[in-house]
Amino acid sequence: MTFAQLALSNLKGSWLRYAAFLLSSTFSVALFFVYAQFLYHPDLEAGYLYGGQATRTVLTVCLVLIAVFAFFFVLYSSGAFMRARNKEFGLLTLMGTTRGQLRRLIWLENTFLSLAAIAAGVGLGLLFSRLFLMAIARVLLIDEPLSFVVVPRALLMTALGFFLLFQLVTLAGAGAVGRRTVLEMLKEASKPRVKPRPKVGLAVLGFLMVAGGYGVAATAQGEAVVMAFVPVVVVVVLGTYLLFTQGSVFVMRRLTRGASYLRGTRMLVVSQLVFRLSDNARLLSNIATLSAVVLAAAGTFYVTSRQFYATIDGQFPHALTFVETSGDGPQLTRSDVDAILASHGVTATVAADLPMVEGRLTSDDGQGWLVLVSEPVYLAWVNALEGPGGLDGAAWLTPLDVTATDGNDRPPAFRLSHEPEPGAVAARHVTPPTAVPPYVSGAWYAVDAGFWEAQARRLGTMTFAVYDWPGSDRSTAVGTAVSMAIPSDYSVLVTNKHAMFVTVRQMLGLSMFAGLFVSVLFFIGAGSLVYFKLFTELPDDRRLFTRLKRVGITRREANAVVSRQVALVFLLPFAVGGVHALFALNALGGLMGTAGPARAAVIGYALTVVGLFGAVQLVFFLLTRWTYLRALLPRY
Amino acid sequence: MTGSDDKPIVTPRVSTAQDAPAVLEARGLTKVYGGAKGGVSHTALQDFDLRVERGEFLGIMGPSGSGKTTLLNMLSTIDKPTSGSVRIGGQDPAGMNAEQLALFRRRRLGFVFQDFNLLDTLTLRENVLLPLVLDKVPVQEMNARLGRVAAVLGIAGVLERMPYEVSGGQQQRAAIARAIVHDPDVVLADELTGNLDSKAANDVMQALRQLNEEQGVTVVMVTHDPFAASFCRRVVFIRDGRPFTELRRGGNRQAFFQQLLDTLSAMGGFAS
Repeated sequence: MTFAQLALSNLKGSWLRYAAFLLSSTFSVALFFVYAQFLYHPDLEAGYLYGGQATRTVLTVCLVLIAVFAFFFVLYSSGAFMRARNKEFGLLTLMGTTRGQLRRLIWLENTFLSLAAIAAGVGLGLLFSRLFLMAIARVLLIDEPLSFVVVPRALLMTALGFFLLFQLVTLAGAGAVGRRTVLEMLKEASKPRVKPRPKVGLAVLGFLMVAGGYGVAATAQGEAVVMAFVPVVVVVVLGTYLLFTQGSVFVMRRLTRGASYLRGTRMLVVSQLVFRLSDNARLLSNIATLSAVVLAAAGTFYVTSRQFYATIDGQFPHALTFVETSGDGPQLTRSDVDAILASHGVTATVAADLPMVEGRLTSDDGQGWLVLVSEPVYLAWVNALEGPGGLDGAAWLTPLDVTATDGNDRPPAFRLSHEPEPGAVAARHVTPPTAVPPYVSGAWYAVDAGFWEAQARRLGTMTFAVYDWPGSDRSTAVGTAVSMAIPSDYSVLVTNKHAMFVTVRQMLGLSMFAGLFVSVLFFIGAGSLVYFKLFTELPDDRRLFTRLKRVGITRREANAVVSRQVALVFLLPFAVGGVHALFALNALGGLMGTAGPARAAVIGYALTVVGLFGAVQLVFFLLTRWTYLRALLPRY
Repeated sequence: MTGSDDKPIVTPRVSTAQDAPAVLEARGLTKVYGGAKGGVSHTALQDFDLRVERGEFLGIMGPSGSGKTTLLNMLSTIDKPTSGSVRIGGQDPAGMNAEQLALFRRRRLGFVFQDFNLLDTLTLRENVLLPLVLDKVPVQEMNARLGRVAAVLGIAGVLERMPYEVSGGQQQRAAIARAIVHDPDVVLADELTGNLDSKAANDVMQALRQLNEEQGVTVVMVTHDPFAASFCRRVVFIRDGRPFTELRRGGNRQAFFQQLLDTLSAMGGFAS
């Protein structure tokens, strides 16, 4: 039997043990490949991408993040995998396998495995590429989905990159294996577990560091947030590390002294957790910190995008405003809008018209455009809108003689003065209660009905229409139909909130997508790591529960013992990361200088993000618990 | 050697066996493995009867593959017989579901195993208290019971240690403490000296005999070690799934030990 055959039959003989490692590697490869397929897609290279170079930079950074993540993911899984096999390596050494041969065996095995993982990952990636491209097209509101192609550059990057990555990790692992003595390796499985003793001082220090960081984050305002950012992050990250490595053991040890410790299954849960938490402390604190970073980033993004949308809402109180002129040429009319709404079965919540007279204005300050409204008509219109915008200030308007009435260079029709003049009528300045199209963005003045009628006859009128309908702040069929009905060179005569939303959403959508993708990737990865760690402890747990079963533990009790441990290991890092992120986002609120309800809104958004990811993590936990229990207590 | 070793053991209850309630009674126990899908079936135990009375110290001996572990598994409710019945303390475990069985085991039975079966994340104290803790017994009562058994078994000084910090003999004595701390109907022991050196084995067996004689603990012990079996008052020999013979300790332990050796060599299958 050649060495390569031995490695292969090792793989075939106990493929179940390799399955977890192979699966997690395949998963990393597939993710990277799908993402690279998107990033180097020819349609995007050709300039399909909204936001151009900036967006591309964001996506490239994401790709680098995935690569870094994949590296650590494979490193962790490989390390855990090697540790689980120490006894086997010890036996091989005992039978006379030299250190060099052992390393070669590990190298061969892992090379076979990595080739399989790369092939499977690329295959899986191709399967999901199509789905991914369809999803991203939807997010970016691209009508035609990106075409499905195999991008050679992505394929090459994935295959070559991961091959090098696996080689690197394997060589590191193989190097470490040779350095241990036979006895150490053989004893690995039955190594007595020394009860960890917490360093109380460090545990308290960790607590103080996190609490102090929280204190600063909770109280800092404005500039202070920027100043405090780096030191607080460093202190909290270190504090988190101490809390996980020392504090968790400290708390568990304290729990063994409680009166309820000796009641029911708690003794088993706590005594197991002392070991489980301290064994996994470094991994868990890393996950907690990274969770905090990801949640804070996702939360920041969500908060700013919400604020963006809120700004649009503030700038455009109504869904649609437009000017209907008496001139000919393509234009949007009230009857057009009414017809579109009717055909979609939508009833306008607001449909208010304001007749207006428009003319050129001259004054001591220079020239401009004037919009003249009749005071009683205007007041009735404002009431119908229920919006603010009253009359303020006083001025005097003198009608001037005009002959030409069209063209931009027509002569002024009115003279505006701040002092009474002979022949002038009193006018009051008007602040329009809604966003107005650029065409009527000049000075608005209200005058008495008689004077307005005279000017209307002299200069002609036009109509300013305001519409609102339910769901106008979303992408809806009605909104699209209305946007389509607006003639292309008509933009100076309309404000269209729906179109604004679509533009902003396309702009934010891609970054949102990239951010979401990286977050989801991270949480799946972190969850898989904990999952993987759990399953390396399965043999120990199996032995434990065989013993407990003989002593007479019921299935329900065994379930409770396992579930609580898995829950804590799975959810504690996330919970800590979530709290970190909430404080960070609260500080973001402080940076934006918001207070009162706006600050509360920021906290609300932050809770939404953390809650959402929490729900995902909870589902992941329940799945893990289910599979772990099935593996641990198959039939009771 | 104490005086009791020299006195012949009189067992007056044997004559009233029909009406005295046995603490453990097996009737017609048969266990057949395999053969369900036309494969080769193997009868590990054939129509086996056993009666253990309160306060007895019974040994079950036999060569490898004789069916003694199968018998113990069925007595300890871990396995179910193909036919026949087991009654422990007047109850039949056959009619219980998994949950009831688990509760039954931890309240009415005590187990001692060859590999001690202590949980390595718990201190000896916690290991011993385990059956009581699971049953939520009040702390004061737990401590009182723990104090009693720890004193008898000589482990009071090492209760706060972890299992890996004490010797094998101490671990096995802690396991015995766990097996009796809840006053079970019967203690079932499986090769409990198998992992111990002769000094530790002697300590453990002395302790078990003391518990049997002074506290009336009922013990059923499976072993192939004649030294350990010589501490029993009665030894049942089993071969090929059937009872072979039965010996009662009449004289001192040395003489009984010799009797056991003779019987084993008569049975064959043992190299001595």
